[in-house]
Amino acid sequence: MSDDLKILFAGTMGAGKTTAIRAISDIEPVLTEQKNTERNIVDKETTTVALDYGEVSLGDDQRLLLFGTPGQRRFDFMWETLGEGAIGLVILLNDETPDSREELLYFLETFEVLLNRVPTVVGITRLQDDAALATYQDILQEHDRCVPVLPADVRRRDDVVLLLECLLAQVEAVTLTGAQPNITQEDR
Amino acid sequence: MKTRPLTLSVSGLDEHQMLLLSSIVRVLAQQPRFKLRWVTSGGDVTFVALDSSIGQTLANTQTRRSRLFVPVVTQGQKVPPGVDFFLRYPFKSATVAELVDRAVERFETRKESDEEADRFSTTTKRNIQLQSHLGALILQSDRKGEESFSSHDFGAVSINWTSKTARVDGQFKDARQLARRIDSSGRSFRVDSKARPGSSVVYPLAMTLWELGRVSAQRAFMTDHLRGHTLRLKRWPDFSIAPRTQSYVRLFSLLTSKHVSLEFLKAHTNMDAADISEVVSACALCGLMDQQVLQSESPETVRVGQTPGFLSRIRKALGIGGGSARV
Repeated sequence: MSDDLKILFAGTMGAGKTTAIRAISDIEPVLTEQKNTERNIVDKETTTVALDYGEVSLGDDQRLLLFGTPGQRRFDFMWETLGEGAIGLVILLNDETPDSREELLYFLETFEVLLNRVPTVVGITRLQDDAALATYQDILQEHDRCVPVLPADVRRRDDVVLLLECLLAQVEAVTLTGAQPNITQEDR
Repeated sequence: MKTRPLTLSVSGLDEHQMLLLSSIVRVLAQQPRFKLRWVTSGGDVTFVALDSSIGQTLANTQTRRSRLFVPVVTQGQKVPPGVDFFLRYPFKSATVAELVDRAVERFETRKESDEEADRFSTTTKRNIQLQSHLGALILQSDRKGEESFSSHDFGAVSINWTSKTARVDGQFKDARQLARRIDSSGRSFRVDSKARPGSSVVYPLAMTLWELGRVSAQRAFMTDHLRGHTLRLKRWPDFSIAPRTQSYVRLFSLLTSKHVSLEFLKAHTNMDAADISEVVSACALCGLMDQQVLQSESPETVRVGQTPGFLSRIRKALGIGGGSARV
């Protein structure tokens, strides 16, 4: 439906995209999980290979569509297509993964076009030490990105809702002020 | 000649000392030759309790800063080397009068110098402008410019920029209040967890600066300075410290979009002015804030668009309270 709205959940394999969608979806999420063939990277039985899909009913036949991208990089050709028409981007990173900071860099490059257009929030899952949040912020600032970084236990609905509120508040702010989202220097 | 009265305040002194000193100052202020005013905090001349750890800080700041911090020396204490301005306790009106005369002379002859700022490390420079306007911090650095330390004006907080820690001195009432705030935040940990109550405690720097900024706002250090400026966050606050609630997320979203004034924030959020001031002050002290002077002849030029209707529908569906920010 043309009036439907879309939010994209991207992130590393095992970061919790599927769980996050399940936490807020009104319907049982449509999952495309298959046996994980990359257990050397993340030790989980299955992983998303096409996309996850959930939705939240907004009334009057309008829906908020929740799309989760596959975590494996060999499926990254799909990400741009999935991002079309999205009003916001949630990037989830698993802090227990040794290269989660490099993964953030990868997502900043891969989603560069989308980042210039739609509000974004970074959710850090399985965070062991709160002090580590600043290191993700450092990376974003070094790349001239002004994006919120929140710790998130995506099994908890409240945490996922706060991530989305972070997006909605930014949508509201950029609409109100006419600003470009996610940039450190104010656009003139 | 200073055109306004010289303001005097105390910080860290006990109540008896404060009462005695303020009484002497008020009596002196009745004399025509003195233009004095007693203020609750942030005075041109601030009398502080002498603590050995801040002796050298005082010596350096007395020669460099636009405010004068004068230690009160009690019996058995020695005047720190290099400290020209000090006041012995018990106080005598004649010595207070003499000190005031010397302070006035110092303020008249002193000229602002940029040399001091040039000596600071980059990290410190990032914060120094607002800190000096806050009236909250004294700063100094070593000659290499790699380390610098600062103290709150009640001589109670020493910051080590290299280790990113802050030592909060539990001997001082104000510092104990600051420490309580940090401890009660539930998100901090003491670097030296074995410290005894009332002694100095080391905290992570970011948390200390955040709470110090909030306290500064409560004491109106920031109010005058921020009025007439537009503000924008260069970076989102660290959510291991900043409140993770919907109201604050909305405030930060506005602050990261465009340079906006405090009045704009008040008009477009549902937050109290005091809460906004605290957060803005904390962000400023943590070096997150960019500010621009708002020219009186050119009013704020932020476009005010219409909030999309779908936002309230999504919020309602997700059970997010409070609705949209005010438009």
